[in-house]
Formats: sequence, structure tokens, C-alpha cells
Amino acid sequence: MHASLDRERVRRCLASLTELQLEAVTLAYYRGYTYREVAELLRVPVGTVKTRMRDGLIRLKDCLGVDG
Amino acid sequence: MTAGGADPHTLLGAYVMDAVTEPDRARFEQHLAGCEACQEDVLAMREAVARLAVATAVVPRPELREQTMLAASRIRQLPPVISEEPAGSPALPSVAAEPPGGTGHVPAGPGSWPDPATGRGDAGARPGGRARSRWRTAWLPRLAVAAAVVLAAIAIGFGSAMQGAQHRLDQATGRSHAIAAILGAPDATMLTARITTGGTATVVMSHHDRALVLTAADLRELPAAKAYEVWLMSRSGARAAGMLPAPNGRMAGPVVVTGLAPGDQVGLTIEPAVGSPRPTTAPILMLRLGS
Repeated sequence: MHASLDRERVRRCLASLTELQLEAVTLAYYRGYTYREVAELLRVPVGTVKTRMRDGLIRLKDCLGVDG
Repeated sequence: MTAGGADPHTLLGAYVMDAVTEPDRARFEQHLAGCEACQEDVLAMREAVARLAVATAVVPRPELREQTMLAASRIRQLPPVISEEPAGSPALPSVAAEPPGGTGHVPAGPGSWPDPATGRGDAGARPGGRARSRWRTAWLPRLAVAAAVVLAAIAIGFGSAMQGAQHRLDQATGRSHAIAAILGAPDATMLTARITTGGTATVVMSHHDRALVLTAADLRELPAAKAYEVWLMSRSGARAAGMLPAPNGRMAGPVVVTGLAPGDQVGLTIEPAVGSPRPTTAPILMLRLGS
């Protein structure tokens, strides 16, 4: 099925993120925290969290083959 | 000027995941307005995030769905005396009162709703644990199927959003995020009810998240100037909860409703296409959600 193929692919692509990127994306996306909250939770500067989220999603986008 | 004084462009990731505060969002959108390259980045990244949502939502494997359907058709509903859970445990006491299959289609007259007499009085009046258990037993196998139905509607929504304008993508992304959260909630439960003018409404809700996803199937077609509006109805009145999007094939929706309060019922009325602040016609669906 299309959905399960897509899921498999997304899982593979998520695995291509660095651990720190994945952590930031997961906290924001699945747990619904803002980047500021994530920064507080992880005790890292907000700029760092923003960068991890952005770079993580760029990697995800490239891996999924979404045209930029 | 920019969030945290840094290059506003770094907010891109947080922004597309909706992980920003309102002031951050406003600032970033201001930046976006003057940055064409950023807009393209946002679109591309949203598409990636949208696929994240679809792919991670609870999609039953096809074989699981078949097994579930088969089991649902074979397994008799358990008698109501099977469980003696203590009353007062959380979740769903009033939903338990609804007989499966016929829930909630209360064609109340315009003057008689929301009906406090039937809409409440559930809290300690009944051995809720037992009834709840029965409800769950009967309905849980169908939850997976419901999730599939809802997801089908989402997939349809995405299909059009992908080719569409940015605001449609915006909506699809934000919505899919919320939908995935509700469908994936550990306490997600499913309710379905007939719509009196035709069709069926399916609600998947999470008490914990105080949110639900509503879809409708086989709705009666309305004239262009009319549309279906969703309401949260309680003793204190009706709160507008969004317009049901025009059906795509058999399915209409999904509509995500958040901020559920104890005792709320979900209602549906036919309103002018632009929506009403208040219901102007009698509800064609009233679905009790439980506490």
C-alpha cells in the first residue's frame, strides 16, 4: 500500500538525521513543544535548537526527495 | 527585530513544525513576505512535514484491517457483566450510556437543545466502569477501521493540498499534525452516529488531549450557499467548531476540534456557507462525548 511504503521511507529518512536533530524535531513535532521550550528542556541555546530543527528538516526533505 | 536577534531564516524548521510562539510566528511571516526564496523553502519543507504526519499516523496494516474486520464480524459483543472495574475511573462514563450503533442521532427540535436533561447527569449515577468496559470491548476493534477511514479522508485532503495554493498546504500541515496526535493518542476512542438528513459522522477523540477529529460520509448534498457547520454544545450554549469542508468523493472532513469540555456534545447544523456564529437551524447530529 502507498501509505505503508511512505511510512517505511519516512522512517528511513528520520533515521538519517543526527541524534540531536532527531531529538529536536521529535520534541517539537510529536510532543508539541515550541523551540524555546525544547531549548529549555535540553538546556541548550535557542539558536542551537532552531538550527537543529531546520537542518533536521532539510535533511528529511532531501531524503524524501521533496523538490526544493 | 528577529527572533532572538539571529538570522530569521533559522526559524524555518521550527516554523513549519508549528513549534513557535505567536510573536515568533508573526515576525517570521513578516520576514517571509519579503523573501521569495524563503517561501519556496517553507513550501518544500511543509511538504516533507506533511508526509511525516501521514506516514506516522496510525495506519493499520492491510492484513490487520482484514483480521479486524473478520474478528468484528465473528466475535459477539460481550455481555455487560464481564467486568467490575471500579466506578470513578477516568474517561467515558457518559459515552457508555449510548448503545453502539445508534448513538447520538437526537433530532431535537430547535428550541430543545442543547438539552441539559439528557446531556448530563452522568457523573456518579451509574456504575460507569462496567458500562465503559462494554463500550470499549464493542468498539475498540472498530477503532482501527475508523482510523483508516479518517486517514483516507486525510489522504484525499493531502492530494489536493499538494497541488494547491500555499494556504491549503498550511491548513493541511497544521491539521495533519493535530490529526496524527489525536489518532495516535493512547486513549483514542471512536464514535459514530447517523446524521438525520443523511450520512454518517465518525469521531475519533482523545479525552486526554481534549480534542477530536470529525469526518462525515455520504452527506446529503447542499446548495452552494449552504454548508455544514460543526458545534460544541453544552449547557451554556453552542461554540462554533468549524465548517465541514465540501465532500471529496464520499468523505467530508476531517475537522479537528480542540478544547473539549466535560459534558460537551458535538453537533452539526446546516448554515450559510460562510458559517454562523450561532446555530440557526436544528441540529442534524448530536453526539455525546462523555466527560
